[in-house]
Amino acid sequence: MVIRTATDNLGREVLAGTHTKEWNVAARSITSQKDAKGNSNTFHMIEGPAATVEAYKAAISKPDTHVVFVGHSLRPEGATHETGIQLSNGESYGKEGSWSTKVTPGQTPDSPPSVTFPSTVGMGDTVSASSVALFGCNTYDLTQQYVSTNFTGVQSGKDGVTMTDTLDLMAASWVSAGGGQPGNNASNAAVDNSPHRVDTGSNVESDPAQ
Amino acid sequence: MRRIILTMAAMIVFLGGSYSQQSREKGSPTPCSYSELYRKDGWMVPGLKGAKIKVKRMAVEDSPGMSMMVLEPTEPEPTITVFRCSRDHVGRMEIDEIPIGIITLWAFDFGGRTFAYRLSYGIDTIENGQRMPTGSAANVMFYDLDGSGRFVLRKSAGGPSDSVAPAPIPEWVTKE
Repeated sequence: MVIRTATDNLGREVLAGTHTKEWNVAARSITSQKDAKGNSNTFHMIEGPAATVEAYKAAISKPDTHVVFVGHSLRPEGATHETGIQLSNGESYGKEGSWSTKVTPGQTPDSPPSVTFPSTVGMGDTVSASSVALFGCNTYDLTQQYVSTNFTGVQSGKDGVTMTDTLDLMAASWVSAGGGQPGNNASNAAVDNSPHRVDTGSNVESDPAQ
Repeated sequence: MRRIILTMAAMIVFLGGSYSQQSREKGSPTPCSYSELYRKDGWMVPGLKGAKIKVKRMAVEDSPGMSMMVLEPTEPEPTITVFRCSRDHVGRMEIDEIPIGIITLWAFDFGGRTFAYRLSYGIDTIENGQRMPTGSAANVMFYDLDGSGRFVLRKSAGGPSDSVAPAPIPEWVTKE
């Protein structure tokens, strides 16, 4: 399951519909194989506005699923490390929980709509997927939020950031190589091929489930 | 100019105080950590100037009397001054004016009296004169604490311990 969303300075979605060729290769690589039980693998991509907190939570809670996220990580002002990832309608902090935005239309045409922010922070979310790989800046910081699964995150090097364009190619390469160490090697090769100066030093690292 | 210098000095003293306190508490090398920035003259809220209404006022369900509006910035090249704790040097703060992409800008009010803005922004870089998004984002809340129209308090809003809606609500907003 691939979930990707990010916007540019004008609020336009920048990942949805991009790198089609690379993601088609990744999809074929997955669907051409069978899992350990002999079942054919499936490949799903959710992107842009559909990449919601609810979709992400459903993905990471599902056993026998490999989840890949591409997009923005979150670092609070004043902090030295990332604390979560940004979905199209809220944020996720892995097993620590999440919140989203829910708008309810007014009960009559004249009454205004209302908004609420359903949150599981404090209660936590279930992480039962076989693996979770987060392709955002410094997402390796989030490893403690995913201790129950095989986790892969990005270290963003000296500049502390990695371009979304590069992160997307890293993710597609990782999936095409089947994840694990081959996936990490393929991701790091994608960084080596990046034309962007700020990507220098970015690389992926993995931690096994504890 | 003198006023700006004084404001900056006040802010640095404020941050310095925060470090000293943490250092005493932990007895370890002085860390770099803060959760609020106060600027007497008020912070400029990126994307606010010329912003249009994207989603009209909605009642915030869990906060009686509070409403929220989604704004659509029109500024093509917004920036923000960031105060970052260095990942490589303990205790070092890095101050920088950076290009950003505005993900969301929300305005919160009580009876039409706007008292807080919540800004979610992605960090951009500029290469060969072109803005490009990175995979890093942050959230920040700006508060008008006294109804003066100056949004003097800037507070982090991007972690599991931070609330989504403004908290606490300044007293002036709920009076009348």
